Amino acid sequence: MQLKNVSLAIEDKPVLRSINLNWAHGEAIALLGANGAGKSSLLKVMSTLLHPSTGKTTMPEGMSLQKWKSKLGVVFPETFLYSSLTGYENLLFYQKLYGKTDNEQIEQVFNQVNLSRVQQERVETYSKGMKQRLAIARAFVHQPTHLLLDEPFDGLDLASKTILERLLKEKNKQGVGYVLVSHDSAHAWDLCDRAVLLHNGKIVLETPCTEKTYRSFMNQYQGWLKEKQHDVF
Amino acid sequence: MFFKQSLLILKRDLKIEFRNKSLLLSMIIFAVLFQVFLQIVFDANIEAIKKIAAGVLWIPILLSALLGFSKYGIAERENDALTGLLIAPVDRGAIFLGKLLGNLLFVFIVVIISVPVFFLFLKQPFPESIGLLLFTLFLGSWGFVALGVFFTTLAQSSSITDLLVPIMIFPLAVPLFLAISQLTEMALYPSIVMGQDLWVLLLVGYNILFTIAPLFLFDILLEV
Amino acid sequence: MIQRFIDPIKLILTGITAILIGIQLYMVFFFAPIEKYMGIVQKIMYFHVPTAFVAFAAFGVVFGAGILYLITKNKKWDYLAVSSAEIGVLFTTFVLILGSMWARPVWNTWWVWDDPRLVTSLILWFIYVAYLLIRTSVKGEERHRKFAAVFGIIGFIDVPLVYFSVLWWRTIHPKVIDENGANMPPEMANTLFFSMFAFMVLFATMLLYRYVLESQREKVKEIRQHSMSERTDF
Repeated sequence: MQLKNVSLAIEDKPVLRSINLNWAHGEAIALLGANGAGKSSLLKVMSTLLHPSTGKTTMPEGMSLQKWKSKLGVVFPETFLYSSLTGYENLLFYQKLYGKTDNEQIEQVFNQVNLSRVQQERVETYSKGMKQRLAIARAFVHQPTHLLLDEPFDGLDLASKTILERLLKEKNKQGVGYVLVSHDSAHAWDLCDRAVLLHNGKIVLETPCTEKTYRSFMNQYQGWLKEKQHDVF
Repeated sequence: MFFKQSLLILKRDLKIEFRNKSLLLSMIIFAVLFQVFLQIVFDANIEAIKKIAAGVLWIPILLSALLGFSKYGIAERENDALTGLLIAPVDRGAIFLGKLLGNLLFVFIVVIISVPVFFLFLKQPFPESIGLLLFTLFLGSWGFVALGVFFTTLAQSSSITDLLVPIMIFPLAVPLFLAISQLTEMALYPSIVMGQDLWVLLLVGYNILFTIAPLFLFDILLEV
Repeated sequence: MIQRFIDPIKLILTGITAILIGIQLYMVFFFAPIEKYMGIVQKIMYFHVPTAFVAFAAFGVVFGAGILYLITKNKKWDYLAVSSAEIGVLFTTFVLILGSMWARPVWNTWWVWDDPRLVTSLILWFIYVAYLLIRTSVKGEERHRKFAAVFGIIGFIDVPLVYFSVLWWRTIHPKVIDENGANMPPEMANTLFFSMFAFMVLFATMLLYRYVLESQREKVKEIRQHSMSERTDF
């Protein structure tokens, strides 16, 4: 997917300013930045939930909008789950919503997030971490080729974090690309091919994720953060 | 695909609502209770009822439907599940249709219980024209529910949703109300038959307008 | 830039409106003859009918501007729509009050359900009050603009449906009101037409003032927000 000169204003407030971003097939991008930098808004633009005020988004290889949406898996801070349905019913619903019926796939994602045991229980009985894991399973259930992940590690315990990390790496090997939003840059660094730093709605830094680049990235990043603190206080 | 998606949303909503049951039950109880209330305050007897029959029959159904609009599908707002729907490759018209059918089913269940109660309490002789009555009940509920589901979904971001919805839909529904009250009167008391075709035409036209228009408008309006 | 042109237009239009309304008042009270049966109260007609005319035109503008807003997404159309809706509600209120004042001596009642125009005016009033309520209570600016535009369009389409349904509703029952005003003496007809014209110009003036106010208000908001976001910028 390609974003060209995308700007977004919500209620006349500029949130994104002339973003140029190229997301190649199968590429893992880490989207970093402080709170309010516009990371989540950028994900919403990529998911076509929000339309850019100016600029253009282009779907890969001339995909139609519906086709793009069907290839997309999304983990947002909200889980999108129905709490009076069971975990299984939730996944079944979302899978059918994408026009698929594949029971094996559901079994598989339940295994992957380690929830097989409780799949017949209502979501309202789940703990917060279980809900988060189910939300991740929900994003994978229609076998998307592109993932948009907004702080997916939030609320997960260490074991679950490891599970998700492994899952992402494995998917990435199979050619699934993702955009990972995180405030923990050290953690995200292991999981990305390229890091993008957002500040006040602008891309201020783009660098490949290697150990070499990490130090210089962190120096700049902390510089931005400091300036941000100056603004607040 | 379109209808499959509508059905999928309908089935999900019904599963959730029947699991909780409280909404449908309270809609039915409210309708019957309100009917009893109306009959008491109007001191309705067979003589007096002629003038107000259509109102006593319809008002409990309409109010019960109105109370249902904002509560039906409330699960969608819980974990922002509506966004989950909007991200999926689903036609937004299909979302409207699914919700319309679900609400309609509930209102029909209310009608099935509340209308016999009306005849029971008022010892009304069996309606002369049962076909016309059923036709009016069907299309009348349909039109009102279509209007209600459309504007309730839109007004969800309002600070006064529950009040704004009736304020919006009642004036718009005046033609519908006139048509159903006239047709109901004709069905109950077959002596008045003037202009029946005209009202039927109005009712059908109104229903078509408010079923088709939202199917297209939903796409423009349901953006985050 | 535009402001420089609007100001003289505002002044000129205000002047013209004042002159026209002056002439209109003169015609109503000194030119048009006193009606034989109704007497002096019939003069209400010269205000009642043009007011209704303006109200309807105002809602027509809401309809048109709503469509244009949805197509172009240009906020200017929305400013026009909200300005026009407010004026429309104001004039509809006057229509209802003047109508009642006229009906009292002539029909011997404040209100009749048998006149479809009267009932339609009342329903119109409710529809556009709802329109204004949407604007104040729905969160999210773009959302309430879109929502209001759609409601303005649907509301306007609904008006003929309301009118004809009330007409049919009442023609099934005995009708008590005759159509009046079909054969007026020419002085009366001329005065009425002139009044309608003068009121339309009055409407245009009010709309311009209100529109400028609305766009200035939005401008102020924009500037304020811009300066806020500038401050957090580096």
